[in-house]
Amino acid sequence: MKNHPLLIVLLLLLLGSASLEAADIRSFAEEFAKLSETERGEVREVANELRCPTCTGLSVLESDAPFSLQMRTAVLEKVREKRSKEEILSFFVERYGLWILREPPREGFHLLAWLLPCGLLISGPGVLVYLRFRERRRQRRMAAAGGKSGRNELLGRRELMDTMHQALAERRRLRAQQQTEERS
Amino acid sequence: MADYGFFLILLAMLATSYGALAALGASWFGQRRLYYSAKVAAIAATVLVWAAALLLWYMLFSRDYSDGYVVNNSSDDLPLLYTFTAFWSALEGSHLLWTLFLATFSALAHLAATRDNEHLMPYVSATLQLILAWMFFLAVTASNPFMQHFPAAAQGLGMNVLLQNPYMAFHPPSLFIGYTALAIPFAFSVAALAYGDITEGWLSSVRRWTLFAWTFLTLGIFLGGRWAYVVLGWSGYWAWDPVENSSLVPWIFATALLHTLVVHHRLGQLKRMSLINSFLAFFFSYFGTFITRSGIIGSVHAFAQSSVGAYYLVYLAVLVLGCMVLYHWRSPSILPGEKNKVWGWSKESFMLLGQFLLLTFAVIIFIGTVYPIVSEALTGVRFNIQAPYFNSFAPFVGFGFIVAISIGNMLRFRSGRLEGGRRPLIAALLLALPFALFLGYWGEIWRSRGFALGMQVLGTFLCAAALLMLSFSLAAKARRYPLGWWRYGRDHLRILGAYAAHLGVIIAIFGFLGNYRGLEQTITLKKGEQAELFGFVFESQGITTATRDNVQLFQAPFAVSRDGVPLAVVVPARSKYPTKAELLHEVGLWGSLWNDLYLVLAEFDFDSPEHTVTVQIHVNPTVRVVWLSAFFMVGGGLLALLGTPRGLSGKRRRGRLGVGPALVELRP
Repeated sequence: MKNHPLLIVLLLLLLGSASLEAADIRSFAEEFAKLSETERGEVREVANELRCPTCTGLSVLESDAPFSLQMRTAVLEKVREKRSKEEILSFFVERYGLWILREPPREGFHLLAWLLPCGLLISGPGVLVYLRFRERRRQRRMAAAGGKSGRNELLGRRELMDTMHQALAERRRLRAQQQTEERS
Repeated sequence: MADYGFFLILLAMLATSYGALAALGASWFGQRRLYYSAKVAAIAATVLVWAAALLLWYMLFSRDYSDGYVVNNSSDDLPLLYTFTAFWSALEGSHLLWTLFLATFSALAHLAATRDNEHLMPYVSATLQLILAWMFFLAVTASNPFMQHFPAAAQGLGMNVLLQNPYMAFHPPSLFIGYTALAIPFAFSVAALAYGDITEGWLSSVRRWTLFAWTFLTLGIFLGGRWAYVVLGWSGYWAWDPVENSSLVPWIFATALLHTLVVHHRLGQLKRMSLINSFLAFFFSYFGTFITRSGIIGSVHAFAQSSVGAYYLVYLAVLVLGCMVLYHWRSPSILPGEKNKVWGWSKESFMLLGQFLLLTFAVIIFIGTVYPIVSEALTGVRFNIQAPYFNSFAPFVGFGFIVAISIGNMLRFRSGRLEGGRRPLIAALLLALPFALFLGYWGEIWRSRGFALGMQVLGTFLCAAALLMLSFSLAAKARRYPLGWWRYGRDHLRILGAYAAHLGVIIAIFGFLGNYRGLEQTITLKKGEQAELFGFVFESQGITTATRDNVQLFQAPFAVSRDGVPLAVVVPARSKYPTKAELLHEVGLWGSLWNDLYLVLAEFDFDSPEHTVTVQIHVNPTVRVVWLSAFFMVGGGLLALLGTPRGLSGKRRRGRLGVGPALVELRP
């Protein structure tokens, strides 16, 4: 389980095709400079979706580790062959598994990771709207019952609360008394 | 030497164990003297742990290689500053630093206790000392910096070279100050539940400690970002790495707590939410430590794996269960507020909206952080979620914050009326357009395309509007103040602090928008050659060598000019440390307020006469704006701290605990 990334790195070593071997920063930069503006954008976009196998948290685009450089070069070659973003990504997924992606695919179990935050984002304002609705409804009911804009109901709550506070104070007083008695 | 340190920690553990028991006894029997002895134990433990810490520093400075920690984390060539910071450069030392701060703050909380909190203090003391005793226990078992190294080594292995940076002198301490200070609000919340009520003094104490923790957390997070920016060399300051995330989550809950405390203060509402927020903030300050120290999730910042993970798991499990039981059992005695809240157009509603946003943000980060474990358990594939996932939610959360902050600040409590009427709002919205146009023009946002462009246009407008709305509504409030607007600030430091901090958040969000338009290119130049990129002209000046303390530097200076005007000489470099074979990056930085030029030396050929260098040139917009926002946020936090009163002080009544006047007179 723990050496899982290591295994993948080994796989990468084995699978690395001949054309990828000669990758270094300078030749990549030269090749990259030859591309058109849109092709460069594509390379960046795809490389940003692939994780650097040997580092933590970085994409193939950001890292200059040897493996990232190889993968970046592979991406560049595939972009030059006019492959689409999906094709290139699925090429890497076929080879190295889902692990190589930086965000979970929007399918199956992984969908949960996308839906949960979306649900929460919507539910925040939703709850507020519901609370507002509930308050309005209560006010309407109070008005229908003859009170003026729910004022009576507010007074009712007020009384209830006062009773609660009184009960609490009483409880405390009793406890204090008890403690003093125990002491003496 | 190492044994003395061990015994000091052991004594501290015994002292806090006694203190915890004594404080529990004091709360049970209501005995003031028992509480005093617990207080003495807490202070004694603090003195002991300071002695242990000073001893560790002494051993580091005297290069005492009979101690395992000193051997593993320092060497003779280490400069003075990094010998000092070597203290927290690995697991055991940083654990000791954490414990040191926690002990110090718990002693301070005892000493600074106000009269209106004295009935809570036994519970606070018991909570803090239980945590401390556990931390000391870990420091003598799983994470002991005072481990004999026998026979004594002749030379240390050296300190992690990535940490040999001035920012590392300030980033971990200030972050740890934030984490550990969150224990005090937590202890007060436990105390309030255990006691059965939130009494008058609770609020001001908790508010002060939370503000303090929040300020230092903010500072620590920004310093960490700055460290990553100048040291790691990938031209970013935030990678959504598990360790970074786990410093952000406590910050989020501390922020949420600060806001529920405001509602609590003004309306007496959201009390239980404050309790939950303080629990979560404290829990996540430890959760981050757990996931990174235990090695179950890989991270750039993770220390070597150790047995400490299992201990933390037990601790966190006990913490969660304990808090849930306590809350379930005691929270019914926390009464609802006395004033009514108004849902809809009111300040409290927008604060609630902010709570939801903060919670959502925390959940997103939490999912992203623990996903490797969850996905491995459920699908068998260990899937690491990285930056793109977080970045796809970030705009929505960020814009949500802007809306909640700007409208929330203009509204008043319990009414749909605006602060100072409609005029500030209309003026802000009208002026926001030219302001946003200016920002957009200055920031050259038209260089982006598609989605990024849309986000930036929207974001720039929202930020501009929010800045103006905040300012105008504050001005409207100040102008109505009877003593004159200039006295308003002096009398309302807390409002002024909140204003600064909110400005900081919005400026920060504006700064983050710049990430959508970073430019990057790699070029290879011989000595004396020029290249023109992004409107700047770069001229390579070859390669020079230099030494700095224990480091040998290979520098590749570039003269940068724009339109024939020389701007600066930017010096990217690679550094060779004596204890590491590979060369490290030293980025070359130059910037105006708007753009940062960020040069990374990728390859260089020192031996050939041509001095060929390959350099990555990044143009990073608005990174400085992000650093600027840190000043606003931290300054705002400090200002608000100055404006938060301490609560009732003065001589304590002699007699028994828990039956002071604060209790009986509390409410009619």
